[in-house]
Amino acid sequence: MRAISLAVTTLCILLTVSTALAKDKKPGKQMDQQAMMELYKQLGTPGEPHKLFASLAGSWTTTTKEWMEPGKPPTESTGSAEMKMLLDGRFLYQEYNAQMMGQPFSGIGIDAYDNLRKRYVTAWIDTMGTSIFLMEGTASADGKTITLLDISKPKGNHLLDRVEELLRERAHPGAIVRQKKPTYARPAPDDLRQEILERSDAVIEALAD
Amino acid sequence: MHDSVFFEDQGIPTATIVSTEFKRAARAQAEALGASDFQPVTVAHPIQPLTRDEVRELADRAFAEIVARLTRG
Repeated sequence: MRAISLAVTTLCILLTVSTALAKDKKPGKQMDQQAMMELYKQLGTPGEPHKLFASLAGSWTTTTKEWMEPGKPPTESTGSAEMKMLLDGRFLYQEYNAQMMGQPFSGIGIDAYDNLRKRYVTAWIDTMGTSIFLMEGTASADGKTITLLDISKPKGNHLLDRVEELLRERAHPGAIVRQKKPTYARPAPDDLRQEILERSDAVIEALAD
Repeated sequence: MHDSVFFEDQGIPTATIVSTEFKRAARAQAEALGASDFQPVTVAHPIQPLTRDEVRELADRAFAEIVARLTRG
């Protein structure tokens, strides 16, 4: 039974990939087998999104806030998450243990980035139910403006240069604006603050040392 | 810290990067400004003896946490 399931799954994957490839195919021109195999290989190779997953691997202590009623303060609980990469850096696996409404709560999740469809996909199961939650979407700062505020300490610009590169590679914001305070010793002047406030969806400030 | 707390108070998600030596002072300052749950993103201290590439590596290591700070609910 397991072998049959595997065969069916493999067939489904191949059909999905073939369908997607067919869309890219030029009319009247067949993709040769070697080119197709190269493409399969490329689609199966971890990329930048998987590096981001890998950066989350490790042991985490979690703090969870639950808002049960509007206007009421949240209840807070702590827990832990063990996260590790699976299958040579292709998937991020998570085991989560905490409290939910005063009861022990455990969950397991697998995060993926589907190179073919260019979407993040998560499968999640936990002790609150018997369903498998499937979630997917994109991680993007499309259209957002992120301001990088240099506080004018030496070498902070090197750190912000790299942060800017990573944002462009991984988050694709609408715009990145670089600003610099005249001095780290005082708050930014009011006009600079106002300009940042009016233009920014998020701010990254660095580097105090 | 004044600027970070100001932007957060105005509803702009803000990630503030400090070296580990400065973390305690940063949190104390933020708390004095009324932001008791303020959490900076920390990178290893010291910064000044590092080369440009070494500082860039700090950014690589901190990037996931920076994103987490900006996207937290």
